[in-house]
Amino acid sequence: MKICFFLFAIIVSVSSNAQTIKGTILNNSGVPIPEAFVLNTNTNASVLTDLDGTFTIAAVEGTDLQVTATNFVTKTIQASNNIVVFLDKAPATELEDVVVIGYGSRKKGAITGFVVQIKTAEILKTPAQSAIQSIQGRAAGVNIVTNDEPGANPTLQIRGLGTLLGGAIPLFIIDGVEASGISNLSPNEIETLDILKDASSLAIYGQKGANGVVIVTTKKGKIGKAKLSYDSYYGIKQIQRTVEMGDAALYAYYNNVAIGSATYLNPNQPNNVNWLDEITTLGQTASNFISLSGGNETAKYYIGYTNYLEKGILRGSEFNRNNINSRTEFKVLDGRLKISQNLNLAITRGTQKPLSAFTNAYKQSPLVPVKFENGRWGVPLRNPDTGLIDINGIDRFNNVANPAAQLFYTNEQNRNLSILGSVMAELKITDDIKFTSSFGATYDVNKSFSFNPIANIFLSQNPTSDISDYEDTFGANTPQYNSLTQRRSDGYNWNWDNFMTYTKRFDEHSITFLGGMSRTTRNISSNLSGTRFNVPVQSNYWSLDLSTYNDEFLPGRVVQNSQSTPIVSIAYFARAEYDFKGKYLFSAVLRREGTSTFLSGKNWALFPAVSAGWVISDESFFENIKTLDYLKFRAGYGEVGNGISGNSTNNIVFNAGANYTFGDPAVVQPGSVVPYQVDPNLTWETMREFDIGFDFSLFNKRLTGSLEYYNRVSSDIILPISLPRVISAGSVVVNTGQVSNVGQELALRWSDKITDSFSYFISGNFSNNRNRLEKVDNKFFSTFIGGGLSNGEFTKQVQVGQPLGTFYVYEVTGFNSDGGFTYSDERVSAGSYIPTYTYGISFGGNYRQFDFSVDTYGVGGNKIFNGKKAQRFGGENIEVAVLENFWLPNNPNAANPKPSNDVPRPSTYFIEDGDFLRINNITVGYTFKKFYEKVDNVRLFVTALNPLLFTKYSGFSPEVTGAPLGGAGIELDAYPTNRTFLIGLNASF
Amino acid sequence: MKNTKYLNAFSVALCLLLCTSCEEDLIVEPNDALNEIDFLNNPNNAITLVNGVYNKQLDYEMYSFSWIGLTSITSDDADKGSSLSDTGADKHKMDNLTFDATDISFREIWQGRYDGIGRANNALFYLEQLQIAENLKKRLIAETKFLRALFYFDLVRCFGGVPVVAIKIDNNDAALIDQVVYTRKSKQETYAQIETDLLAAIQDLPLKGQYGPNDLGRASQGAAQALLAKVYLYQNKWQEAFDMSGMVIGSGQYGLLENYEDVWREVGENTVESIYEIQGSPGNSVRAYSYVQAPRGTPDLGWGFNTPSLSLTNAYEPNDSRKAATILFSNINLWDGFPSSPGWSNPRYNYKSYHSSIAESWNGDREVPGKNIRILKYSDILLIRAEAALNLGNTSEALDKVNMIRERAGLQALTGITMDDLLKERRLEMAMEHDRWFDLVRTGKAFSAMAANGKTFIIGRHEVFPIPQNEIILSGNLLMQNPGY
Repeated sequence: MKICFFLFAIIVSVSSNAQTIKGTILNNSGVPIPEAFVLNTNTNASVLTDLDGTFTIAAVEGTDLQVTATNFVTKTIQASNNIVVFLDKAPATELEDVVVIGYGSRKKGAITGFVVQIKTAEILKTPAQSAIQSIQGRAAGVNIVTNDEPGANPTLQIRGLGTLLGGAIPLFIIDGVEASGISNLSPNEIETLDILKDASSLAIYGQKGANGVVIVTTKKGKIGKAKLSYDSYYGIKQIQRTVEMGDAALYAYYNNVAIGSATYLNPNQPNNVNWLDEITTLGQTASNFISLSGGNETAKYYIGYTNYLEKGILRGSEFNRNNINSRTEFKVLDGRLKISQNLNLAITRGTQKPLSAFTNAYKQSPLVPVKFENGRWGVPLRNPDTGLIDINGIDRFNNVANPAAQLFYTNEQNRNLSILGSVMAELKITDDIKFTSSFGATYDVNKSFSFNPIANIFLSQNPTSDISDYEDTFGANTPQYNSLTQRRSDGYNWNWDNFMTYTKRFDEHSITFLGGMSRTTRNISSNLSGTRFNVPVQSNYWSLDLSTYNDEFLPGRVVQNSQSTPIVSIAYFARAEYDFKGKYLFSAVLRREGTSTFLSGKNWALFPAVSAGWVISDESFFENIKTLDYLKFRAGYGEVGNGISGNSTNNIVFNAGANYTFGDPAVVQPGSVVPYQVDPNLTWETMREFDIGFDFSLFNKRLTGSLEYYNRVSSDIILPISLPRVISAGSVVVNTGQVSNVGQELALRWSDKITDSFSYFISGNFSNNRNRLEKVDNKFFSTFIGGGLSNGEFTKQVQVGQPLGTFYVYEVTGFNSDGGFTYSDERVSAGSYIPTYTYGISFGGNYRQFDFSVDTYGVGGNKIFNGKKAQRFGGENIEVAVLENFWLPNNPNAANPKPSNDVPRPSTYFIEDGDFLRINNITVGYTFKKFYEKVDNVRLFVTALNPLLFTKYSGFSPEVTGAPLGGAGIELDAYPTNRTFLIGLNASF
Repeated sequence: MKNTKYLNAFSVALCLLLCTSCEEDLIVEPNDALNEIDFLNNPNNAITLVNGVYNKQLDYEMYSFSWIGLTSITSDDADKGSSLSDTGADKHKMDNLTFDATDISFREIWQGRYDGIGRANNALFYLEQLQIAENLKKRLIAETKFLRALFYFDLVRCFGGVPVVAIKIDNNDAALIDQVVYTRKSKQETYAQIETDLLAAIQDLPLKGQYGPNDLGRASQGAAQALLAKVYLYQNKWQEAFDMSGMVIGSGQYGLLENYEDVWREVGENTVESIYEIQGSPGNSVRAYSYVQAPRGTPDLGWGFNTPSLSLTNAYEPNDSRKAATILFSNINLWDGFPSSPGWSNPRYNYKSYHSSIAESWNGDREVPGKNIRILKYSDILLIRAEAALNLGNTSEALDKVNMIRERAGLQALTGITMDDLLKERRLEMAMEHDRWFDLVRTGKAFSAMAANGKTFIIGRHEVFPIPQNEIILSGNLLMQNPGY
């Protein structure tokens, strides 16, 4: 590597020139045109403009320069220093869009890989806390599962499931900074999202790329006068879908049958509480964004500020985020050195309320009042004599908390400061050779507290006790009235990338070489937390020093501190691209990468890729075909890895903290354990993929689209696996086996302009994916079971030939004489939670100053295990659907079994179809052109998010996230999705 | 040449770049736990390694809810308790003897014990590599073997013969795993492993009195002998049980407390009657043992499971002081002055599990209040001696030992003794101490005792519990299920 660089350097120094002309190529709106071809017609010297449209070429002033750019009308100009050239647009296509690829960018028409680009307008159309949520359904092969919890992250999966670790997420590159997500980035700040889907595009990211890469480019200042933008919206949120629960009479009836006693609960109860109503409220969301940007030849600037506020539908939950962004770019050394910086500051404050309140609201009996008549919190106490709810009753008939009290007594707040920043230097060593060095880092500081009013919680659960009863239980000890925990944590990740780019055009041949290295350190984090009792109850006094409780405690209960082990990776990479006439395109990539995750000898890998493209429509034999405007064929093969194992290193470690008490007086003595064994053979998993596809446009570019096919095989998949505990207490991370994903992706868009004042579009994408576990390499993986229900039962088991995450449950065969189910002897495969197809359809139009659009998203072929129904311990409420039609001797063909408090077997009874179609977004907008003199335009809009959901699934949400062989597709906790109605405004000055 | 300066700048950058990317950087030392070399270089870690095996006993899956379900709720001494509608996942099935292989309690008991055995095997493996005084090393090895024997004893009593794993297993050695981890040994072979460990432990363990005050609670020679005596008893090895219990009695380390009620209270912890206890201190004790059994209702002190049965309540003779020490009757104030509540759901709770928040160590954490769980106590050894003696025809020795216990309970001495008398004495002396079910099965009385309580003990099935279904699946069906399940 070292030698290569110096050779490069020597070549560079020989081919230098004396007199230079600098200039900038812009379109008619003043936007720079990158990769425009500038030719000195006298000397045949040529250069390409950079991302800012600037070029430097050797030429005598006054001689002719020819400027050619794809999709622009070619222009000849006379050379003069600092010239600015405006090019007229050729008829527009999206082929001119600049698509970002690893360590560089290409025009969309010139790429050979499979990259989807989503632009700012598309993102902002669906206002959400995270841009990922906004783009659901917009890109074929990109499966996004949303999460409506304030401040939560949606999950994103590209082209099916290979990696099995629960947290398998794509790599995000935000302006050159590696990150694990973009939840701290304001959606308003994003210019483009480029989703790299295929292995030939991903190989340049080596061991980090197996789950896909999303390259985020933020908004930058552009040459021109200062521009001010303002975007704002306000909306209300409500529960989209609820599950009807039994009322007091039905609840009493069901439980009486379960217990086998007609008098256990009296059907005429004083209360009938709808718990979901008691804990939810109308949510609100608001966002305000303002930015200022501009620049000239030597300096560009951008400042942005966003405030995002959300009040969740769960009472008391709040999320507030302030983003401050600053990006600047300077050119020095006659424009040869470009230095840019990017700083994104996110300051968030979240007031969390426990999501388990939803599950408690689902389970708590409608008999229990929110509060008893004397004002004490309701508790499931039954008077055995009357069968009525009774504050003095002695029978506690379930173990479910009062969710309203739970919300009332939860005092938690979380503040986070997240800094994402990068500095980049780009040096033009010669006209053809560019050296780029980019350092990026993310730094998070988090502080949070939770205040737990222990005594009040005791009283809320014991409505006839008073505070003196509580104090009496402590005898001579100091009573603990409350506890306060304060937590501080920080996390730091950095990456430094250095690479050289050589670009040269010889007549109709164009070549680009890229070579460089990347060093990354992740997971440098620590946390410190402390707990003390009896601080003043007013929140302004919530610091540990104000505790009045000084009894001794085990040290580990008072303060905890830990540091994580960093993960280092080092990579060298190279890429060669060749382009003949823009018609024949080739690209080859090689990356060698090492990671500290694996043992020496198992930690280096080589990832190659090749791809090619052929623009068939540029061939002469195509000239006579009129309807087909453009046709490009692409194919690629690549290998890419996953080096994340869940453990920072693959070594035996000894954990402290397995302490034990000995002695008189008793002293807690230190103990240690080996928490898990390691497999020394553990190495990266590899994904190999072959892709083939077409891009096309027809009918004067009114119909555009692409069709892609992929066949990917993931081998040596990494997964922590439970071994017999006598071998290893904790899971052992191993390479398990091979999974294939085969799929097709079709994207189509029809757009037409009928008159100057009316245009419309319809676009859609459809992806299907067949996921299959091809083989198992590991003894323990072959008997892997997962999808636990927290009651001892499991729902998933690994089976070769089936999709991952296939439910493996007993088949219900009928009823026995007691009204319980009878089951098959053996478990059967009952479908996977992974959809076999996903689709999105959008349509919209503009009429005069109105705009209108609708986005839909759907999935099919997936199954959901309705685990809430299966998770019974006794005395919980039950869904009306189950209550209304259960087995009785006179109803032997019922849909549901006889009531029972037994843990039910996981069976096909709980498996439901998970297909759904959802309207994600309906928007209507109106634009005032030239609102008044100083305002360019103002657009007002109204939007409905998730207004409608069509599904047969009976639970709260057909989208259930989790680890593939764990909780994915199993709805255990009730968390309703939201429906939002917004009004908003966009203005630019 | 103008470009030279750019080249220079570039060369500097290149140097920086190459210097910072050495491949040695890929070797990262852990920050969150000790690595093997650093751990083994510190001889003090020998003790922490063994403490880590003791620590396993505190886990919820060891001697808490599931253990209570298997050993007590199944028996005629206790009912499920709690609320009618609260099943405790599978505790109603324990109570009614309708359990099966998928019930979570069996899995917890199995996995917890094997986790403990794994810790013991691991400790033995590393103890050999630590440079420490030979005597200390021998003692630590002996302590570990005692714990391993204890865990196997729990397993063999619950499940019959089980896989015997007595070495650290390489997780990549598939053949060895099939042969050792997934293959059940016979009951005799399992007991043989327990005996081997205990005999070795007896050699190297100090007497209880030889431990310094800081080490009180470690496994002693007496503990290993007492456990071995019990192991012999379960195999009807009467002479060995007689001799081994005699060694404990003759050691001069143990005796009976004056008050039976003190045995399970904090004042009785590690006193003369104590042979082996799982140690605890507030914040560091068997998880939820007391909490699971504390009265339910208002005030809600716990989950209220494992309530003493009417059968047990009625089994005591009048004036037997053990009755009021064993059964918490909800209509009288408790021994520490805590007011009994009319708001409690059941009339009786397990008094031995009660941990006083008023008169005993207490830090407010109901789940880990610091209670010691008695595993082996002197009166148990006296009864083992008596039972072995009676089986050997030595009635006077049996009578002598049983009468020691009766006297302490405030009862009149017996003048003659039958096996039924002795077993009844054992039931009352050891009531709610997790032996009753095993005693019934061991002595062949389970069928009649269960029938008397309206439950059906299926002969040929209920002598052992089912092997957990998940473990059979995990083994690729190599582990054989017990008959009848």
